Amino acid sequence: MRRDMRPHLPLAVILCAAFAAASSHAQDRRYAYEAELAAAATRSSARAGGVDWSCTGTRCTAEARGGAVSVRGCSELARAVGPVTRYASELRQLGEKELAECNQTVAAAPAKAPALAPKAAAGRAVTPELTYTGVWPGGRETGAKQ
Amino acid sequence: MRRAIGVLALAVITAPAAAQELSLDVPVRVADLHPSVTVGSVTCALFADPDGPRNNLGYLGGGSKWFQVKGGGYAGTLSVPLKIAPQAVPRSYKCALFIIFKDGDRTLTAAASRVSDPNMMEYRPPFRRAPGSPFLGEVSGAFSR
Repeated sequence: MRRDMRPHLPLAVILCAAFAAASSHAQDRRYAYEAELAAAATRSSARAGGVDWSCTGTRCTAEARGGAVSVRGCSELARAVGPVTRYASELRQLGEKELAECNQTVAAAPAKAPALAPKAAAGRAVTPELTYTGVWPGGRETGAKQ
Repeated sequence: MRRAIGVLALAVITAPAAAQELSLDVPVRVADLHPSVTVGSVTCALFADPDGPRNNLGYLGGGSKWFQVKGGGYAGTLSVPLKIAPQAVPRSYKCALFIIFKDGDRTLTAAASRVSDPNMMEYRPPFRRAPGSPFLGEVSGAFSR
């Protein structure tokens, strides 16, 4: 009745080796990462989740091995450049719950992320300041750069 | 039966409840804007969903407030009125800065974060931001009364 396992052994070894090789290949390959922010990035570059991000406007991009995405990496990016509305690699993206968790740390750190710190002052809801400076000193055409 | 009539009577007698009128204080600081900009505005929205500003779910209502731009600038705090249904419970808000400008004969309204961002389709060179200057065209977060 005893089944002989020996004939299957080489097959198992081959499968394991193939899996390890595939896994190692996936880890070696570099994947594109992309994050969308709620407002324009507060910095043009940031290191978050062990990845170097470049940000322009409300979009941040990066390239890294593995293709995995994590709430922790997202949180680090949110703390660095502001609240994140989309966090994805070519393989995967964070869901709504994960994004909410990602941005929680930003809300808990108002000094670093004024856009998410609307605490009531004397019973009234007050938001952070909307700020915009153009290139026309005093609103005049003269001397302004186009 | 008597109870049902009572409930109906109460429903008829009770006047429709007035909408909730709330407000958000939004500090605004704009400077050195193009001479074509003479008016700006802040538009806010309230959401029942805590993540409403991101996923646009649970929109309850909103409101706007205008301000005059003089000499290319304005600095002050706007009290933006917000109207929502009587029973609605707002949990989050989002506010955005808009500029109103003349383009030939037309008067246009545009979100500051879009017309001043070179990466946006709506970008217009006259509304370029001063290099290195702070910019915040939208704010959002939890709403507390």
